[in-house]
Amino acid sequence: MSLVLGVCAVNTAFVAVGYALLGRPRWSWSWAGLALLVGAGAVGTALFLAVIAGLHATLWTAAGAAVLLAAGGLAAGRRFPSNRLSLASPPLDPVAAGAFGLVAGICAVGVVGGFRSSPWLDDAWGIWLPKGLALWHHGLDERLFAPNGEFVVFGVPDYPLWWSIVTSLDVQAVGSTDVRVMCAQLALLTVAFVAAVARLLWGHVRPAVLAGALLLLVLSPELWRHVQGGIADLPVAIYLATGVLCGALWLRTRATFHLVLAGTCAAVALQIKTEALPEVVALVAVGALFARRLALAGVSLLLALPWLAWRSAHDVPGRAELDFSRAERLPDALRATAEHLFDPTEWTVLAAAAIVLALLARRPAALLVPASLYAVVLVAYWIDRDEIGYLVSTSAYRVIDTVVLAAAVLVPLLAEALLEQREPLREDRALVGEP
Amino acid sequence: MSARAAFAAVAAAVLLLALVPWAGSPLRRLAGGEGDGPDARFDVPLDAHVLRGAAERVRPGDEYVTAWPGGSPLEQGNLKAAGQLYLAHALPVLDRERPPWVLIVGADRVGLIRLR
Repeated sequence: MSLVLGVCAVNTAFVAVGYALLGRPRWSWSWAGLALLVGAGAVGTALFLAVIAGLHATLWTAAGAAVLLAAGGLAAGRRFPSNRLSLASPPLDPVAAGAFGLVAGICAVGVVGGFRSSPWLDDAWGIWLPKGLALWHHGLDERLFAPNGEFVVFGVPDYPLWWSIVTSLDVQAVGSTDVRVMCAQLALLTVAFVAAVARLLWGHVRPAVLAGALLLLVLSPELWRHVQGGIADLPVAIYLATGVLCGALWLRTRATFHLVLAGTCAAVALQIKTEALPEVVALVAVGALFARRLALAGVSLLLALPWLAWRSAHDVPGRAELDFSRAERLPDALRATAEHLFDPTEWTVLAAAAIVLALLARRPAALLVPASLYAVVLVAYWIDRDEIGYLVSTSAYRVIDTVVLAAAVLVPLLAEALLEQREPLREDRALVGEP
Repeated sequence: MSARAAFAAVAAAVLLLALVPWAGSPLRRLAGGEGDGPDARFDVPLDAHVLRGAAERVRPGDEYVTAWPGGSPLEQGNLKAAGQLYLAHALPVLDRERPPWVLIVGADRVGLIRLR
């Protein structure tokens, strides 16, 4: 099968599972982005649990997991029918529609670029994909995944395996080792994220604000550079940011759907990179400050346990030493990450916009979300054992993905809050005859 | 102009612009530039065609070692990763006396040698 057919076949199956899990009220094309995120997240997570249990990460295992998940989703939908959120569809003027067209056009070109790119990051083809291929051929074989002095073990053996498994499925569907599947898969997840944000916020934020915020995101050169790098930090950021958005929406709607989705996204992020564990803990703690029931999303942390248990049983060490004595590393880490965060040639003005809007809208507490993620990044640099200069030069540009995307999903909400606050002011002025 | 028409017109314009063969265009970069092949972009010269051929000779579960005599850590690391990527159905071992296969680089060429 060709690259395009193979990757599209796998992702079509992900979308089908996602729709089954989202429930019948959301069976329309506008939910396809979220369906892809949910389906890929669920199948990848189920397969990760299956390999921990001793199965191989084959297409057949994935098909079995997909059927079970879809059947479970459909059965749950019948037993607990969810109501469609009846938000009035806002009017769309041609200018906002044109801005959405620009977003869609850039995303379409980005997907083409994904399918035409071989990842430039050596970790992608040197660690992440080979792990997935090993899980296909050998399963979670301790000879390859746990240090033993006899076999060559993969780098960063403590990292979870969702990204390796998902890209391995793509390779299996394509039928030959083609590293472009990594960028193609990442491009599809990125576009799915953009579509999911648009759909989730539709009706909560006026279209012009939503289109502007999405433009800030898709015009970020670094977003697509990371797509073409096959970087695993990006899917972590995508799932965490989707979870943040669902948590923020739950504060407005109190809909179970949003709370469950927030927990689901956090659970998937935990299966991708080790850093997601403290990041989810931080987000759950911040969420609990806004509403205690948001701490329920912390149930997702339970899904980190199987991998932690396997690591513990096979003496797989973590990377970080808990050495808090080297605080002199912090200024270097702060400088390097801040340079990337606020460089308009990397992430446009997403981080700055979130800060300014939060202050103007008198919602500074919202900044706790990206700030808590940023704090995790800085602490990770603080306690890591590698030389700090080397570390920040090779990772600062990508570990901030979670911070940037979390800020990106807050931008439209904060902009809308600001506009809503100003509307009564304008009406008052009109009443007293001011222009 | 209706909202639907505006959406379609702008999206189509972006796609058309991406087709313009203007090498420095950000849209061309976004579309993947000249396009890459299916193989890894190694940091050192390693012939992926040879690696794919080697993969066909090694049976599932066979053991192999990698060797780059005098190679730098970067070269050694790339060869190790190349083995794990293209010989994923085999098992890389550390003990040079043990396996039947050696994935080796000599005279700047990668090759697969059968020891036994």
